Amino acid sequence: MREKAFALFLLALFLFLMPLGLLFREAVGPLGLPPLYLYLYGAWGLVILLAYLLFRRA
Amino acid sequence: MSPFFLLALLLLYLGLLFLVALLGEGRARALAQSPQAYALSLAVYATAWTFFGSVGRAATEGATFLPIYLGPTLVLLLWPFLHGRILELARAHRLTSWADFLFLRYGHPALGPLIAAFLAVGLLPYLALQLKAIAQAFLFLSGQKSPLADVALLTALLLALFAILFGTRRLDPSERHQGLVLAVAFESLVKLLALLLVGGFVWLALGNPFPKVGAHPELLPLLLPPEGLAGHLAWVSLVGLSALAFLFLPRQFHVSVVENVEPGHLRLAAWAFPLYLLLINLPMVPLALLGRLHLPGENPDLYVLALPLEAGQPALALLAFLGGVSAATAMVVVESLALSILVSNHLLSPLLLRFRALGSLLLWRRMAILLVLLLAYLYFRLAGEAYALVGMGLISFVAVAQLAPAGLLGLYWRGTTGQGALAGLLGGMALWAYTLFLPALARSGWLPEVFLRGPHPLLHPEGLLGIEGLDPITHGFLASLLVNLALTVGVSLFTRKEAVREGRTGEVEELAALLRRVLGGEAEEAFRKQAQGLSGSQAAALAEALLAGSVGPATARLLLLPATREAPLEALLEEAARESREVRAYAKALEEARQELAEAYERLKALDQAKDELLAAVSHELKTPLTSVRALAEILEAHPHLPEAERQRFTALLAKEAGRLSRLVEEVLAYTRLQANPSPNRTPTDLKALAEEALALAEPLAREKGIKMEAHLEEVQTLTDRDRVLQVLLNLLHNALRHARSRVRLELMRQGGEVLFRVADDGPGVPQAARPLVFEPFQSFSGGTGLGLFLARRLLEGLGGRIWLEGTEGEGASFAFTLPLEVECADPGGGR
Repeated sequence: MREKAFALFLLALFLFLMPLGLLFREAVGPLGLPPLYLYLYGAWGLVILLAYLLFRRA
Repeated sequence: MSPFFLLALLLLYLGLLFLVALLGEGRARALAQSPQAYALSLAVYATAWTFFGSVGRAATEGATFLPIYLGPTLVLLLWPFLHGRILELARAHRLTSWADFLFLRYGHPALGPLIAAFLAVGLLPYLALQLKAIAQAFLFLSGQKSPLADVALLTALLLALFAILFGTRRLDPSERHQGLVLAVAFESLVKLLALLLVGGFVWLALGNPFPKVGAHPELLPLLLPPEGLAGHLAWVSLVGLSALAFLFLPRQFHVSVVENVEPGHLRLAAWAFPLYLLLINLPMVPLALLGRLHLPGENPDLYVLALPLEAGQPALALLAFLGGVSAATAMVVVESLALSILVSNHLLSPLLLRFRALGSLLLWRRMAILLVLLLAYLYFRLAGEAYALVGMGLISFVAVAQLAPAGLLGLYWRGTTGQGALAGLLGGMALWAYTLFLPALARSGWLPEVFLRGPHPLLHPEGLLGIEGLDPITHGFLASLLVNLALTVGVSLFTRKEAVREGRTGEVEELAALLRRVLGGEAEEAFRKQAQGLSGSQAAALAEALLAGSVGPATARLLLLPATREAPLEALLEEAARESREVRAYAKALEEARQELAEAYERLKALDQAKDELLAAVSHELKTPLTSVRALAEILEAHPHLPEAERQRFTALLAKEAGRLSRLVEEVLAYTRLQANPSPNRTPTDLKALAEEALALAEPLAREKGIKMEAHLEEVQTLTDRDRVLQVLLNLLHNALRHARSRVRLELMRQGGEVLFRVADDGPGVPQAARPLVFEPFQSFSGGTGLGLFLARRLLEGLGGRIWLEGTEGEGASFAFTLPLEVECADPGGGR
């Protein structure tokens, strides 16, 4: 479990700290929503989901 | 809105908080100790700064409000490495703060007081910010200029009363405060629900803000990431800063470590708390955009209150007010309690001990809470709208982050020394003050402008070494932390690690008396219970941990001095010898287990080899008759006109070989049955009747061979497996009939506590060279399968009997075997 937790930490670190300025140059994206926030909330939600799957067992 | 109505609402909410805390200490204690309450209590991280300030930051600086919440998410993913270890240490030494840990880890007397004083200075403006948020919200909704300060004062006094009632009932702060935890968890729910409802209703009332952004180009940068390398560096720094703050803020240590009742609760918190942060941040961007679109002249920090009013929902504005109050009060209560413990353990206790007034420590701790809150109120009154207050949130975070190098290296690197930790902390604190704190005071007009410019261009406080383009927080954070880390590592490398502190030992009676004097009868009783069976040095360590939890580690060490003495060399040697004995016993047990495993492995290997040999032998034995059968059948097929006599001879040979094959298969099957079901099925058996049955079954073969069967059978009854004994008898009788010339004799008699069977024939006997091999598989000397005697031996061993060969070569063969009598309960233990 410790190894998986560390791997998840590294994944989250990569997702949260990647150079966002190079990826998101448009303020408005699909459905008129901002792609930057879609990515940030999506990545955050993914990390939480993976953490739930990893830590849920008592 | 009427200020009196708002005041009544505020008081009502605070009353509800008291009620929830009372429930937590009474009927709802189990709920307060649940993992859900633990996860929610961690949300004390989200203060009024989150509730009001994040929308404000999103409305002015865009996405940079988010890293403050991504950092804690990262830290919680590492809980098996970080919190697991911290909780273990906290339980063993009753730690109440990081300062306790650093003092215990490094033993440097200056560390505790230094950290306590520094954090008090660094966090006081942060506390003031919360009081200001409550006062500002009150002022905004009531539409008045006063009594702004009075509301903040009243709130501060009520919160101090709350913290005193539910946080300092007893002297031992390492005890859990279920009421406090439940109240904080309740407040976390209130602020989350308030913000989600405000976000949802305002969205519905004022519409989706995103499509409207296109018509307002000035808002587009808010939806883009920070620009350039400096922007990215600021983003990364904020994530790191918030991660360290989450780990080292005194209130976070208090709720996550001191109030933790079960380390397993972190499993839920590791995903539930980040989910909480995600949810509370969902409405931030829409609220920020709606504020900019509909309330262009309004203070962005007040959008959460102003937008519901703009949407014609005053009740929702009241809910937002309560949400903001809950965010501020939870932080104020826990932070003031944590700070008061820190101050009392590391600053007040040593002073009180010097003036022989330690008995009044609890009173002083309560006074410290009141003092901390009054100072925060005073700071708020003095600072007002100055930068030294409004810009203080992140500056406080950077102050707290200075504990990180000494704390984290202390946890994981043995080479860190007390001098290294002290040098790092002093360097980091100095840089923090120079790059962030003093410029903030100068920006507020309280210090000369030279503190903003610095004495030399290369020493510019917000651009050291001529660095440009970084925002002050990123610059101050990176500069102070790098210097701190470099000094901690560098000085540690060049200083010697302190010798291990001399062990101390003491009498349980004397230590118990000390605990009674300082902590009271209850602590003495608890100590006596735990100290049973402990050695003098262990009892002294336990007493030190109990005292450290209440009066701080430095004072505890001083208090123990008169009640203990240096552990004599003999005692240390005895302790070392005891531990050495334990280690040796453990090693011996390990060696025994290893030997058992090795033997089991050898047995398995031998069995595996035996299986392979058996398989090879069976294949070989099957091949011989099969080859004969095949050859004979081919001869008969190829020569249809063979003479009749020749044909009959071949047919007889064919039948003989087929019979041999059949016997072989039957015996192999009997062997596999024996392997599959090794435990015998014992029933009361009449052995004489059984022997007669075996004789009757062998009679046709005897008649065919013209051999006379004789018997001498006594009446014997015993508990045994009837079928297995019958199988043995048949094997022996068939074997005897195969070798006998004219006579086979079966005997059955009692002999001592056993039954003796003997099967004798008048054949040529077993050659001397073959005797050791007669019971081995496939050792046939007369054309048999070679399995009969082997099976007989295995069957008898399973029944607790034995078999042997009698007689000499040339005088016939005689096989005898025994069976135990009366074996109802005993395990014969023969089966292999």
